Amino acid sequence: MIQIALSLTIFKKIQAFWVRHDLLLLSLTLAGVSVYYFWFYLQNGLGLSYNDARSHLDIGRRVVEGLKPGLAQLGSVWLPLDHLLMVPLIWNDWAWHSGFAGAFWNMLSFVGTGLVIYKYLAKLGVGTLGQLTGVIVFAANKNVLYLQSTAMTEPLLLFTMTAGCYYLLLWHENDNVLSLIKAAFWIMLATLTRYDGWFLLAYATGLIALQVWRTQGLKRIEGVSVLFLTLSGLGILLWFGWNQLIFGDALYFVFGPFSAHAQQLVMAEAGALPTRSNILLSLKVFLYAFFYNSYTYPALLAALAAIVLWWDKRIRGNIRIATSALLSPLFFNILALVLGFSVIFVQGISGDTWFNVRYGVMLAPTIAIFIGYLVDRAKAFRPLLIGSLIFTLFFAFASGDAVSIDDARVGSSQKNVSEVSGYLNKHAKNEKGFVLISAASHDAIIFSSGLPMKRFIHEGTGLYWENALAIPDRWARWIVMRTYDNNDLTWKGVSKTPGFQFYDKVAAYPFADVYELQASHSADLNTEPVLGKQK
Amino acid sequence: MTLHKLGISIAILAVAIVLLFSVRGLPGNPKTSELLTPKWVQNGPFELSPERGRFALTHAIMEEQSLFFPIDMAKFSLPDVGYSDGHYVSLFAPTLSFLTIPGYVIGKYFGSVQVGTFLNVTIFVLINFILIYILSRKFGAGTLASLIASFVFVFATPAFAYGVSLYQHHVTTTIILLSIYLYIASSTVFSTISIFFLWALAVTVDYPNAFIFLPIGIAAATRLIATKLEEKKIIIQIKIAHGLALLGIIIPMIFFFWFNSVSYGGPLNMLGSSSVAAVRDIDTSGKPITSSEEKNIVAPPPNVNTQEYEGISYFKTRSLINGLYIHLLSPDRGIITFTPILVVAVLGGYFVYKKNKSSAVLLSSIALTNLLLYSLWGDPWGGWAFGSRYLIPGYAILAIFLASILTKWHKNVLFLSLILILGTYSIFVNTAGALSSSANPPQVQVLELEKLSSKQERYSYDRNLYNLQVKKSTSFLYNTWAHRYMNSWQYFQIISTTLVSMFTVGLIGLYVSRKGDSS
Repeated sequence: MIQIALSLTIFKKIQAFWVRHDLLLLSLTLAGVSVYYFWFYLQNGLGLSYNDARSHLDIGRRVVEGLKPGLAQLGSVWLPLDHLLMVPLIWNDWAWHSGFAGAFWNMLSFVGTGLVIYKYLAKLGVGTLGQLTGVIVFAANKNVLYLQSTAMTEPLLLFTMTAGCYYLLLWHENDNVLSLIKAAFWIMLATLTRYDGWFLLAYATGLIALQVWRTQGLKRIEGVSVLFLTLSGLGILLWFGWNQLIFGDALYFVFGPFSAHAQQLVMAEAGALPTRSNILLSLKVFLYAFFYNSYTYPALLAALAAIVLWWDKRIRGNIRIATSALLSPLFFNILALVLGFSVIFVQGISGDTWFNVRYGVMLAPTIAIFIGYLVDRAKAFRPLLIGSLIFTLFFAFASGDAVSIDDARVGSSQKNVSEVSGYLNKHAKNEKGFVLISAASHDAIIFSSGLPMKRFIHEGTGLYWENALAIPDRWARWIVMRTYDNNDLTWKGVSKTPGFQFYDKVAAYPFADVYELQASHSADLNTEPVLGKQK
Repeated sequence: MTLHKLGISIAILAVAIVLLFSVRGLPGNPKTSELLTPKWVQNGPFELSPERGRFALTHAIMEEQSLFFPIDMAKFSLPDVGYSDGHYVSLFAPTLSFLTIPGYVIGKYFGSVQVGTFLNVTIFVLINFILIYILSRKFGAGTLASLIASFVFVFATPAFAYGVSLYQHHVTTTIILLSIYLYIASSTVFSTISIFFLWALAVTVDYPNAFIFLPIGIAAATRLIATKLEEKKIIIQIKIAHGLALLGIIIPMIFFFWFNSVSYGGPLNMLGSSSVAAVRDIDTSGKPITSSEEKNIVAPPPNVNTQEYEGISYFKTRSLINGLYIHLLSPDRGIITFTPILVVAVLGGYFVYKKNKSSAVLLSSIALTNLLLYSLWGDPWGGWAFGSRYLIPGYAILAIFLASILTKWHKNVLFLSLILILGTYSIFVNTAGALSSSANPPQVQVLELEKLSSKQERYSYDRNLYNLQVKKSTSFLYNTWAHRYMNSWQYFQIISTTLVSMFTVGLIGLYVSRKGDSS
């Protein structure tokens, strides 16, 4: 037998060092993981698989570069925070085309969410092992790791929502107005990221009202709620104001031609919105998305943990109620499916395709927190819990299980536009002249072409767009559009103009065709941004 | 012999007799060409490829003195046959085929080579019966409660159907139970060596056992290191003797590497390595049609990044949700359909936990690993099968839990009534499986099958009940003797009623006993 005697002082020093620097050490570790996976998905080309990721990057880019740069380019299709945050980096061509300008904030969000989970668990009285287990359950998820490596909006939402929930918990614990303001701040940011944040705002307001009613009576509800909503609702108010200012209709984002609502109307007409008004199917579809994104077993374990937590008399009742905010993505997504505001296709349930299945990742921090709690609470079962989690996660990584990648690559979210964008890159990059294209239909082509944004005339370029639709042969050397498709605004606009006859179809691809102005009619063609700065 | 021991011996004898009446088979020492006929395959004891593949290897060893299959035996083993270096080889882990050699020899001597081979597995069922009894007693259950729990494992779960045919599951279960026993009974170097020996042996019985054994292997490995807290010091003791216990894996691994070298051309070569191809069919000239040749016909799926998707291809977390449903809830394999009595047994884990926390965690870990592993498996149905055959080791663990809850609540009439109802149902269901066939298709295949056969295809235990009503039982004793006096359905009724009677008497005995213990 070999005996090694170690001084307890060493362990105490290590423990003290961890206690002093836990957040720093955790941040560095998570940052290392985050950078590695960004690099990994950059190298294998999966980082930009989502069509939406390329569109997000283009929106950010149009704010700083193009024929009509400016904040108005933020548009109304998506909430603006993600694109606003891109601005400091998106001017750089590499950051734009690698996706780093968008992924950077998601990577920070990944680290931030890990830290919030750690802190949240500490507030529940969970020890270091449980805290670290929670963080690992969150971070060792290939769906989370993939999404944080892309320019999608989900990781930022996870961070802002989890931070909002954390401060909400804190407020329930200490009744400190500063915690309430911090919760309001983070939830406000969530409302500017995705509409899931709006639901959290409503849910959090309800929780706050309940807490005030329980502790201070009915009279105080109004005051506290107004205080909370003043900051947390500011983002929504600004968004309405923005839509009114730019588009002349405060509800443009709801009913505008590019809104999710408009898309879902088209889908409903095509019978592709089966979850609408069907609660059971909505529940099934979202739970499948949730299970696929979380590898099923952790999700089941988290459900068990939630039951244990809500029965745990050692935790104050109001704290237990506050933890229910972590479930708001579950309620929101099911509700959105039932109301027809959202669509998710799960392979095997919704035909043979994936679409938006990544929404199931919204509960990743929730799962992590509940499991972290369970590991702490069920001391005797720690070997079983941790062992079975390692077992499951080992196979998840070994089999490369990331449904969000399938969602991006083989589902409706992806568009293989390499042929048409390759054509533009080859034939237009070193030639003079603008490309007329609808960004609403073909943002992925714009992104993948490798051409600067200022080479494109699209819906957001004001007079260029209006003029080019009226007299294309004066403004556009190339036109990219879906022939005979009136949903493509370019085709709808130019196909009936006299000038269109001077174009030859030079390439035809599955997603779009390319037309080029005949050389004999290029004498009057504008090839420079002659309209100057537009309002 | 005390009355107590006599009672246990009688119980074991009774179990052995019922198993003997249930073991599947036909008389005769068939030639290779005969084995290919429907009498032995579609309508006989070799209805499914796991039985054929393992028997084929035993046959090749005994009749050809070789690990390679002659062409007829290769055809017999399809589709679980490989082709390596010009030879047809078995794709199954080899140990079961070697373990059945004694039964093969004895069976051949008595003119029933197949029955002799199958009876080897039945011996492991009896060993499992005894081991569950011993372990239940170790965890504080009473004698009668432990016997009832063992009885439930053998006759009220799909373990029954796989104890009367040629499958590896009971051998795996024996090895796991024996390891648990060694772990809790002793912490000597010998016990640690034995556990590692059994772990390695289990891998040679069935490859996924490497994972199922992880909890007990890790638990045994923790014996290598001990920590003590002394004043201002932590003493870490590394027990070299226990470290040497790792050598326990050597003998099974030598055997395993030898088998792989001879069969597949290298000690670590198995299916998936370039030297072995899975054979999907054999042409008229005796040449193999391999799955790789089939693959050449099918275009690779579009947009699949192989760097991301290669890896361990058999176990996938994406399959987990379906796998859990199939094993737990589904009508074609689910525990709730085939052996609902074990759902109640889960509660017994609590009483084992109260008695011995670390052992309860160990048992739960093994059962959970068993469930998770085979839920990750791409084919959780286990092909055409009766119930969830992969969970047989888990059923054994749950039976131990059942013993605990029976002991604790043996005076609770409502509980015992529930156990009687669920147990009776489970016995009828599983007796139907054991006496008829394990060839139940997965529910997902039924629609296609119905198109092919133009008749209703059953996929749950109703298929077995139907088979017993319209076809012959697969029981050896029925086929050789009892068929003269009764039909299959009557045979089933006699066997199942006998089992239910034994179970009922056991429960009554439990109720009237003191402290849940008839001893």
